[in-house]
Amino acid sequence: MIRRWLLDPVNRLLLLTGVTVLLALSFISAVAIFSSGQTLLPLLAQKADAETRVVKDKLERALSLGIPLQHLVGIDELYQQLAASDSDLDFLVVSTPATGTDPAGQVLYKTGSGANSATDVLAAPLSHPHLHLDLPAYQQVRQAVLVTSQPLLLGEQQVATLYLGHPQRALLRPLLDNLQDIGIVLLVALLLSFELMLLVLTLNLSLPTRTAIRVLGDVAEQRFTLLYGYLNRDALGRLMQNVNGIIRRGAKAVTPQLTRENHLVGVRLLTFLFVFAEELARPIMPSYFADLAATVPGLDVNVGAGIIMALHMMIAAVVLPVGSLIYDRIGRLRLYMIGAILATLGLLGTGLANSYWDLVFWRALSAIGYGTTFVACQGFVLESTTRQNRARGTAMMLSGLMLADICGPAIGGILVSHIGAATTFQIGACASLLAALAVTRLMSGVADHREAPPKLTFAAFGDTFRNRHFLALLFLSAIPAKLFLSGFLYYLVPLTLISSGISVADVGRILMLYGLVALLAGPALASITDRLERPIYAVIVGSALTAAGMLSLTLHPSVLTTIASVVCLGVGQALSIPAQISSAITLSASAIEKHGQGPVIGSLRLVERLGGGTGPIVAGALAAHLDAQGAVAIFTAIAWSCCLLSLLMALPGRRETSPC
Amino acid sequence: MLRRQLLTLLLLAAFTTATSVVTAATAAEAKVPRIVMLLWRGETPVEQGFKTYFHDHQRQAQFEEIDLQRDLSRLPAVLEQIRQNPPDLVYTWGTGVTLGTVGRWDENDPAKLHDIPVVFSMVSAPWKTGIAAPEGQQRANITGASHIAPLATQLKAMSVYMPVQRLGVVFTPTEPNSVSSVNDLEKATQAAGIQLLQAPVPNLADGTPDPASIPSLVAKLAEQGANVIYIGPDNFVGTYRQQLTSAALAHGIPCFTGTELEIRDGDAMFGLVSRYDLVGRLAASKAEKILFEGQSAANIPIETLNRFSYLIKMPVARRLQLYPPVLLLDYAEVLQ
Repeated sequence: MIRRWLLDPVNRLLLLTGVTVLLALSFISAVAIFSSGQTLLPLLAQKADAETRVVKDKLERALSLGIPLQHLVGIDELYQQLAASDSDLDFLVVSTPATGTDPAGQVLYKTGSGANSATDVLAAPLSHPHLHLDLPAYQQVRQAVLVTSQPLLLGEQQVATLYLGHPQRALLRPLLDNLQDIGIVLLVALLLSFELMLLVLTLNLSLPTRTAIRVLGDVAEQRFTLLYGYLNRDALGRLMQNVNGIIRRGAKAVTPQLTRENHLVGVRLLTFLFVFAEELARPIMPSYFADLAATVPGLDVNVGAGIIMALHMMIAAVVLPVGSLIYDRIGRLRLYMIGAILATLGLLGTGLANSYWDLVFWRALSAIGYGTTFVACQGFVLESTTRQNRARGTAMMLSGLMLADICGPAIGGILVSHIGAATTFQIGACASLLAALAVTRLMSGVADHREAPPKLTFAAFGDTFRNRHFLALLFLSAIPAKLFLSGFLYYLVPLTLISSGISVADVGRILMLYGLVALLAGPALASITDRLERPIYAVIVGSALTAAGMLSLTLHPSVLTTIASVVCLGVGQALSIPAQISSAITLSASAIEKHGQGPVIGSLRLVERLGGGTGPIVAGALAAHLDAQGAVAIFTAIAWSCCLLSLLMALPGRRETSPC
Repeated sequence: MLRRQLLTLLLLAAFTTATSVVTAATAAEAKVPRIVMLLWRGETPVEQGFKTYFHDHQRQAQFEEIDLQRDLSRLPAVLEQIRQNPPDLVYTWGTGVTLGTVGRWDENDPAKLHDIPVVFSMVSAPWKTGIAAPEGQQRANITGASHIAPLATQLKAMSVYMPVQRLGVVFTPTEPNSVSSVNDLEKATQAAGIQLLQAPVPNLADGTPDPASIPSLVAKLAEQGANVIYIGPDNFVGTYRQQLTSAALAHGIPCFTGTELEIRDGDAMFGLVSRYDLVGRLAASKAEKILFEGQSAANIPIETLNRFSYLIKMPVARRLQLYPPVLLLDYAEVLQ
């Protein structure tokens, strides 16, 4: 099984990237841990010193009031009060002063989580005294515990010694506390480095090799029509320049043309960048927009935030067909660049907006940019692929999109909690600007497979929409899927989590699960769907999963059920979205026979955006009238209704057209 | 010549009129309000706090103190005297004096004061004793300051010092404020899971409570296993505080008090109390509103302090070997 997995070069590449990144990060972490021991120990010692003095004052006051040393009351409570504000504290010991015969003194009180081993620690020899020369005499490290001592005085006379213990493992706490963040950064670093490695290898190795094979094949067939078009100076490059010379000399009847492979892989990074820019601030969007909506008198904050999010999706949806018209005039490169610049300005403005109407304007601009870049990427894929490899090209673009869905909210959540929402939007703007700068390098290439995208006519649409099974798929599966994505995942989940006190960083991590689950489960689920005779069942199972997740959240609202509902949505959508296309094709066999797949797929993708656009408005309005929990309950009801109706429609004997 | 004389006369007349107007105004301004203070056992820190408040706020008043020397039978004659030469305000100390001065809200006893504004202090339960009108009703001439911390807070304060399983209370059944307090204590201890042991003081043949019974009542409570004795608002117990606290000490039982006197001038070990001078200042702020701001007593709310002092009498704690927890010393006032 593992051997088979390793046979795939992409998997080997993934493994190599993973191991390399892990080794590098482990090394950096080890250095950080070692140096933290050196730099953080004095800080821990300072804190321990201050705490010991506080306890000393309290105990000395009790003694000065005439409370005998043996009858001190409330030492455990005193320790607990300290430990409540310092989780690093391990023990508190009071003992009689050391004597020649009894160097540790007789223990009178010992308390704390490390109380049992405290006596051993106090009696243990000093650990590595040469490493702790900076510490004052009353602070020593014994058995990896920093022990701070103070004499307890009654008048001038020492009656006891107080010890406070702080284990050195406390120095690792900053690291352990941020383990989740470190994990997220590691995951994102892994995904990004894999992306970059794939890009570099494809551009420098894979594409030139593929071109060399084509050219050599052409030579083998004695046609001499193609020349190797890359200028790389490595062994392959030098070899192929020699081959080019031979071809030029050998070609008699025709002039050989320079040829190159189209590098579709660039579209993956470009899609990633513009979606990442938008997704960064995703976890904070509902509450950030609601804050600005609160400045408009009479507007409910939830509805106000929902309108902004819906506006973005609707404008992006409108821009898609309009952008396609402009695409032919100005070309993909300029279109992408314009889009990325608009998105940059939109995100910058969103971060700086100080009124609701400002926000409306900047979000609209951002949406135009988002839609435009999307059209450019889609056009590039269509231009660079044939009917045979178009699915692969689209998958390439979608994988970039999915990666951004995973990395954006996760990194954004961490950023928001450290630098605030406004700056996070501005960092999104930087990512978008980077996309504008990278486009000339990543979207160049010869469109030698250019093939006009399928033309959509009214007659074709008419035939498509007359099929009630197709309509059922559209209204019971495709639109609700997008409705739940934008209304539930992007709106209600952050809203309920943030209002229940969950940090923005955690919201980002939870949202990230959607993309992560979809990415991990996607390929396996797709292969299951491919084997199904009737993919509509995969759609229904996917919808049922989504509905089940939401139901768990409705019945037992908690962080755990929220996570479960996000995971269910991820798996459900990974199962149902590819199956929707297969089902649409299966269900519309007659329309496809007449007009091709274009109108069917086109109308599916166009109309499902209705769901995406209305999702936040519906969610916002429901949250305003009921509350977020009520809104989730209504969404659950919609999900189950759609699922059951789909099942009814799909039952055997109710199919209009059977698969070939 | 005649014109000059006329002019001189006119000027003289104008000057005289102006002078008389100014003098009258000054006299009106200088009218110092008279406050009669009816005291149960002479001047206490409460009255000192009351007067200090006036001094600090630069309000002048004439204070006339009448000490009833713990004898309420003197009150009717005092009230008659007040009626004949009514002051601007009457101040009363404690539930007994206040009730004797103004009566219950729902009885219209002509022997009591109804027209002169009365400000009371040291009344532990003004509503329960009928001094204050219940919610929704108004009493025209009464307002004042209460001094007892809520009972639940007092029970919590006790348990911060030491666990309380059985709480004993010695009380005077003939004192309405004491009975009302014990009734409340019964509910509060039940809610806190503490057993309440009640020891009512029996009456002598003349109907007055018997001070000699106190040691035997304490002994009975000790026998029943009381581990703390509570001293609430009770004038009789307050008067015989030394007997009570000494008897408790002899049985090794600490006393907790809700009023300051039993700990400062008795052998109670600990207590949660309102400082007397602060109660006096709170009462004075109400008197100020009536005398200088023209407000009606009916519109000024009866209040208690919202901050209390935790007092610990260390010699008693040492004698009982019941030492306070270290953390309690952060906020308690320790009396040596």
